[in-house]
Amino acid sequence: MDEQEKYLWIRLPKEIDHYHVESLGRKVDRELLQKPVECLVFDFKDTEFMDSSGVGLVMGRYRTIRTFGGRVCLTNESRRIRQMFQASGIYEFAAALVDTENEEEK
Amino acid sequence: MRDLLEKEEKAVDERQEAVGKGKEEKTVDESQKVSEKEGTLVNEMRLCFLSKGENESLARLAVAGLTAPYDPTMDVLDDIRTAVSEAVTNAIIHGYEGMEDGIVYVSALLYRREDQSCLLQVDVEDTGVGIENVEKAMEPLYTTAANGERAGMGFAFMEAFTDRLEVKSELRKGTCVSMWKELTGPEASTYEG
Repeated sequence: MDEQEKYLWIRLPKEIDHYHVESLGRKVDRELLQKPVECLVFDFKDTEFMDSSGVGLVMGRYRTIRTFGGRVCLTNESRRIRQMFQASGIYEFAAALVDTENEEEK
Repeated sequence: MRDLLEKEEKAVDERQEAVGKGKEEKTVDESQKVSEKEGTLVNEMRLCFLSKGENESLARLAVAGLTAPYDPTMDVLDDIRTAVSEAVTNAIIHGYEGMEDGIVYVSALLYRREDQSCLLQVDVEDTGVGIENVEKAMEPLYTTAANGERAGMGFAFMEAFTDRLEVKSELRKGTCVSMWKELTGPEASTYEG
């Protein structure tokens, strides 16, 4: 990966519901407005539960970063979370970062 | 706490009133028809709580916990948790428009049939603003939330992760979402849309 690229890595919480991500979205937006970020990475490593608010969170941030020409990546999604993102059409604008070492375990 | 109780009493009175106004006949018919198909009621839970976001996890944990002794698969449990979370979130942010003094009613009924298969019924009810056009609200990606934080996938996920979904709503009266889920089905629902 190009070291010049500016990443913002978001390690998502264990439970992603409306209550748990409400303030997170605003926090990430503030961050995006302050520093130039080329790639925003959502890391689902710790996430055990997600409902549609996770989809809203990613979509909302995409709307923000799009205006600066940045992109959105997702990583470490469980099978179930990936299913939900697929159903919502998220992968049309967000790339899945695949960790090749761990891919077989999933 | 007293507020909550008073409110609940009021709401119960209102509902009884509504039932008195000619709805009774229909309810009886429906429940008789359904119970044949659904089997015997083996467990029942009723939960009511303030419309605060922090109660979303309480609701899904309680319903998932009720089903636990009936050996649902992990996928089925995840389906139930997600569907309940969507319904309760809708009640809080749309039904009560984020006001934290509304009351959300969750009831869960567990039925067992002769072949030992189990069916879960979950009703999530609010006495909030109601939905003007239920059909439109259920379209994927449709949302009334202005800030762009909502994906509009709530009903789509409820539909995808349960076996049956029914939504009854009346403007300024509230909304009741009923969902049915087989606990011992061949496989958990997957979203194919």
